[in-house]
Amino acid sequence: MEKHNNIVLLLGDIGVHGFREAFQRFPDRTFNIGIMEQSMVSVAAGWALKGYRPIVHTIAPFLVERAYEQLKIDFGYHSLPGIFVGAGGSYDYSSLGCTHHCPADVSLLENIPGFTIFTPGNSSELEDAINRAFTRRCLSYIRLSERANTTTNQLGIKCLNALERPSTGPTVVSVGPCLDMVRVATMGLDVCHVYANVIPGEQFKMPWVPKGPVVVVEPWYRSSISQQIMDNEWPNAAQVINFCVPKSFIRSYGKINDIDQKIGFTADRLRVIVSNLCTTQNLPV
Amino acid sequence: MTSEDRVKELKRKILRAAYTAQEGHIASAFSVLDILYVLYAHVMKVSPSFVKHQARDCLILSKGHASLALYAVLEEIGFLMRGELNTFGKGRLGGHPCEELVPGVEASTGSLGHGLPIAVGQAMALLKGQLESRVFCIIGDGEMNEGSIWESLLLAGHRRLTNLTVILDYNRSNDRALRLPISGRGASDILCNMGWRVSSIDGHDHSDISRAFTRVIDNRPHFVVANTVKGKGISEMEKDPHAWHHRAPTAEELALFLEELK
Repeated sequence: MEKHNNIVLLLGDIGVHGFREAFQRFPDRTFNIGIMEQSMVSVAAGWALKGYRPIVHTIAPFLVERAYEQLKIDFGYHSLPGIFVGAGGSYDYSSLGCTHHCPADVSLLENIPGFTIFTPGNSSELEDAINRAFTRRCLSYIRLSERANTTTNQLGIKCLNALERPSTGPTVVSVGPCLDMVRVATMGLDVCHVYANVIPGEQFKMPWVPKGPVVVVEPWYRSSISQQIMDNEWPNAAQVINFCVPKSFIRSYGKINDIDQKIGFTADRLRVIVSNLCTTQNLPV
Repeated sequence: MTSEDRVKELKRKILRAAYTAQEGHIASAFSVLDILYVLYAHVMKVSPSFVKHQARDCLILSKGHASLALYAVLEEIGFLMRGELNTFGKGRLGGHPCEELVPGVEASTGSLGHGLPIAVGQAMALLKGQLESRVFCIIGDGEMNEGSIWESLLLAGHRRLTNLTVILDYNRSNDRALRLPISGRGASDILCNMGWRVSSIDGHDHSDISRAFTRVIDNRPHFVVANTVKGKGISEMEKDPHAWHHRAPTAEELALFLEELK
């Protein structure tokens, strides 16, 4: 906000304390609009129509689900730039119940043409995502999360193995902040790793043609990534398997790990799946 | 030609365009047309030569289905080509106005409840830029059922968006669903308490309309209740406005209506 004086920040009475510095330093560009997410998004569009660059932040379900039509029409249909930051990815608010969960954010926003979805794996990647969203004037959604990868990667879809040629083992595609879990799950297994922290509007491009099965790991409801991979014409492409948050309401409370265990989104379960794939290919387990 | 005659002519053009396209929300267009015409012709600082001028006044037709009225006025003022109204439904003039396609359209409305908060955002941005421009937003009484309208009224009143004028095209078409608490005794209290200056006018009287929009020194946004008739000027539409909400005339009906507008 300091570098670009056309950025305005809009909050929905959430995160106000966290952004107190912004209120202090940029009082004429930081607004607590109030608890009115639909109007907040439309108001942001009004600013964008006047040449400003709005950033809107609140808890993911209120931003994406409550104000979905506004995102679709006031930004998508109007082709306006906007940066939408959703906090509390999937079930980060693990003790607050379903009203504060949003595992559908990625799959919902995939269906608004023109949206670029950033799923940074940690705070360094988040910073890159914000900069990229701003400089490219994208209509973007940036998904915040309590989970964080210990390693930082560039933005995009990248191969992580320093291999000269990819093995014929399974390829595991980690999307966003699940990389640490995937590393644990695949320790000692002969797999190729792909990491993605941007879900582009256009086709999800794998960095190479996978020779074996592909497992797509996403800490939210399955997006269209696995379908896009399947749709590619790869003669040797075997199966594409999804490992993601199952589609059901989470009716229990606890810590994030508790819910992971409950719904089976764990390194242990992923390991079983991946090692079975290795076994079928006679790879060392 | 008087202002009122000018509007009659626009109504004839609208009828012909809707007949050709076999499409259009004519009755809604007719309830809002006088307001739109007076705003563009006599009140707003806006010009086809400066379509995107920073300091222009802006109008958002939040009740986007009244698009025929907006297009007729935009053609009259010169934002559109002469005769372009007749391409309604085929060219760039759709059933709901598109900001990207049509010069003079400030927001792509059509889904009720979007235009007003967009206008609020624009008003905020203009105030921040310390520009003298005014933002006008026309809403419908049916549209006032939408939550985002009340959110916007709360927000704008609270933030004293003095450059914002909201006009309610109060043609009462919503009465069959829900009666709004904004007519009758004490009704303006609601909006006043929300921080608005409230006026009430005859939405078909051009002097009344002009007077309402004279800029006054007031730190509150302005809410104008414009009492209108859906389908104004065509007796059959005035008698049965709901039947004419989204219906194009037949050739016989067109001839009758044109005759009535002589």
